Amino acid sequence: MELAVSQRDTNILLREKNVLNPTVLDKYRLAGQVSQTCLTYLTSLINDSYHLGKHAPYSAAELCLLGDSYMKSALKNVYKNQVKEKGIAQPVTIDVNDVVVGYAPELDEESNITFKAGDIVTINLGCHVDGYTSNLAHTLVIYPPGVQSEDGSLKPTGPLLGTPADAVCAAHIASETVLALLGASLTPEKLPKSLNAGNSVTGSLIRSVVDSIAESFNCTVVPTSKVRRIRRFLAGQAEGVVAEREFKGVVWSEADQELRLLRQSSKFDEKDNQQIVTFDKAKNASVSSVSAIPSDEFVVSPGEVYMIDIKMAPSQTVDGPGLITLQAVDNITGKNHSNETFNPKPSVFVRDVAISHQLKLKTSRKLLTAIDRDLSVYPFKLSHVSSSFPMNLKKDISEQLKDIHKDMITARLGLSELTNRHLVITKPIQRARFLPLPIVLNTATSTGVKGFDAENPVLPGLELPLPRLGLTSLKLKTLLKSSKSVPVARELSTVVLNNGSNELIRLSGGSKTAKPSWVHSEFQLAGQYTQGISELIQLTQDARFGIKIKECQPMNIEFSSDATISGETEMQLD
Amino acid sequence: MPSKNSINKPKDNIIRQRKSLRRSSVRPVSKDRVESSDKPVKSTALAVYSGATLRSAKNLVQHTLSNKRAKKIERNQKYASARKLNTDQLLVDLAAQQEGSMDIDLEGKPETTSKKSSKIQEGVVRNALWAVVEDAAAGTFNVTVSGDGTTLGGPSF
Repeated sequence: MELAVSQRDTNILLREKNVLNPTVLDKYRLAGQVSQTCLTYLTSLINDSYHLGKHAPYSAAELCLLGDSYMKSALKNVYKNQVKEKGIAQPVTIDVNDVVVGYAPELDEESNITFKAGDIVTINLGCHVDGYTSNLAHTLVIYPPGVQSEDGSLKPTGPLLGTPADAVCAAHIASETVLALLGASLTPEKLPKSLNAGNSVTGSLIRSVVDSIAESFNCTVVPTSKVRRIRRFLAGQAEGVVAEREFKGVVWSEADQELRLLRQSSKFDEKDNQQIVTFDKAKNASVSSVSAIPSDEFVVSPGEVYMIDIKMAPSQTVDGPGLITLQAVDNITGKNHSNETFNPKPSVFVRDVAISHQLKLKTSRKLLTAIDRDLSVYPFKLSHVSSSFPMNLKKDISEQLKDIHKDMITARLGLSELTNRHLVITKPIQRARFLPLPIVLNTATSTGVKGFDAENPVLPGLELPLPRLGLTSLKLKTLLKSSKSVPVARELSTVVLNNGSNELIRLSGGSKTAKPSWVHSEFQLAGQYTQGISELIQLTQDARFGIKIKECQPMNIEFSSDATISGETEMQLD
Repeated sequence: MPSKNSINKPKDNIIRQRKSLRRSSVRPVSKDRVESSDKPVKSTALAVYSGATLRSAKNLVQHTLSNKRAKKIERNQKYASARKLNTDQLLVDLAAQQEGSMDIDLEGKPETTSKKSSKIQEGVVRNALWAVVEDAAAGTFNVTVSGDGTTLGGPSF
């Protein structure tokens, strides 16, 4: 179903509103500032409770609710009566180890977890002002409780080692390098000659640089990683649900891993099999518009806003070659009585605005009205609809929690009708799995190429995970029972390529808020781009002649360490 | 038809009259008006995502194709292509008779060749990937670690 919008409105919404002028930049900066501050806040909560021992460990659900509450209240008083929509663009999700996206438990969630030492925890969040979005994700390491150092402060006992450390290193270096590449697109004459890039930054250059970094750390770029252009209200929040025209970005999928393995093979001659290498994505796409299908053939141009979302998983060396793929988990599929299995209930939803339906239940009609009135096209959680959200931490917390819980019980009833009628789409919780190659190769591909997995929507053109083998997503799903879990590190930052002042504005991430945790990998940069990457990183550090980068700084707020759900002290919000 | 005294009998009240009047007065918007106005055109399920905008597409129609008709068209196309193949075959036979030789190649149906080629292609891919598995088992792809490695961050929380 296509939304019909007149030509004039299309011009205003897609072109004029996305031109970077001082007002637009201010909105972007504010969104960046709030998301940065929220990350600082959550990091301080985790440090206080897990490392410094100032507080009992926070559970994932508590962290999510506190983060969401912070973002909502921080945006409450800005641009009052000036913009129609502002708020959370990505509810706080806390993804631990092999969970890649989407774990944001509600308070009554059964699988609600606290972290163990050695876990890698990814915080993902985002907010928007008038549709100008700043998303971020950062991977932290949970250490054992700190030990007293000579100067009296608590320090970690040592760096994280092993395969998770490889992933953290690869993700950090790859995202910083892509950021530098995007920055260099503003002044293409500064691009290092050793990259052989010519005079422009293209999608294929970004892909090959990231792939080479992954390879040197013995990692694989996890499917759904992407470096993409974002626009007002189009920050990739409904990918797979709504096909976005003029999609511009590099997207990694299982098909790229398939090609990489093929190129490793001694029995594969690339020159003879050009047809296999350049696979036509449009052939199997469920939409036929070429522009909605991601392709690497684009040039990064000044004046655009990009989202760098890199997820890395260590390749297994013990089990031989294989694929890294994603598995959606929920509270129903594969559930058994073992306490070991991870069966979280998906809690993040997104409204599909293209669908309308006359609902039967009064509660669902009420919920839909609330969603359409208060929330935007961005993902939301059920607790955001409650009248007690955001929580006022100056008042009695337990009362407010009870209210939120009470609102949620009725909302849950309504929500089931909304999801059944596809008015609201559930965002899946996905885990990374390693699938040994022999298992894939021993599978017959008799189901045909149309076996799309409708429950886990992907970007158009990527419906077939292994197009060269002809293996469908449904078939791949059945193989996952013989797969292993792998840890994933993720770094996401949003950058504005400001063509006015020829500088890159980093809205989220950066050395102040998202500094890398202490890790040590036994690998180091190798391959043909090593020289180019180190030159690029040097350019970003050179303030005078290098690539100009400005970071959005978090607001100066003293977070009280007792800002807790069970505590009675107050949290300063704005 | 309800009887004269039936409860269901529609009453000739004013509201009904007004409604029917309004219904009859609504006219479909003329084609020219749709094109000149800046209002959004009502979209239909057809030609969605075809890449063409509503304005630029000349041969875009506003009605949907029913499932039944789609099937029928598909079936008829199949018959038509079969007929075409028969005439091709006849022509080839004719040519063969005239020239008195038998080594004239008949161009097969394109669909079968593409299917066959995709099967061949899949076989090539499968063999190549098995080679990767075998090489790994033989220990060709062992990752070598050299240098001091990489350290990020520092000893602080």
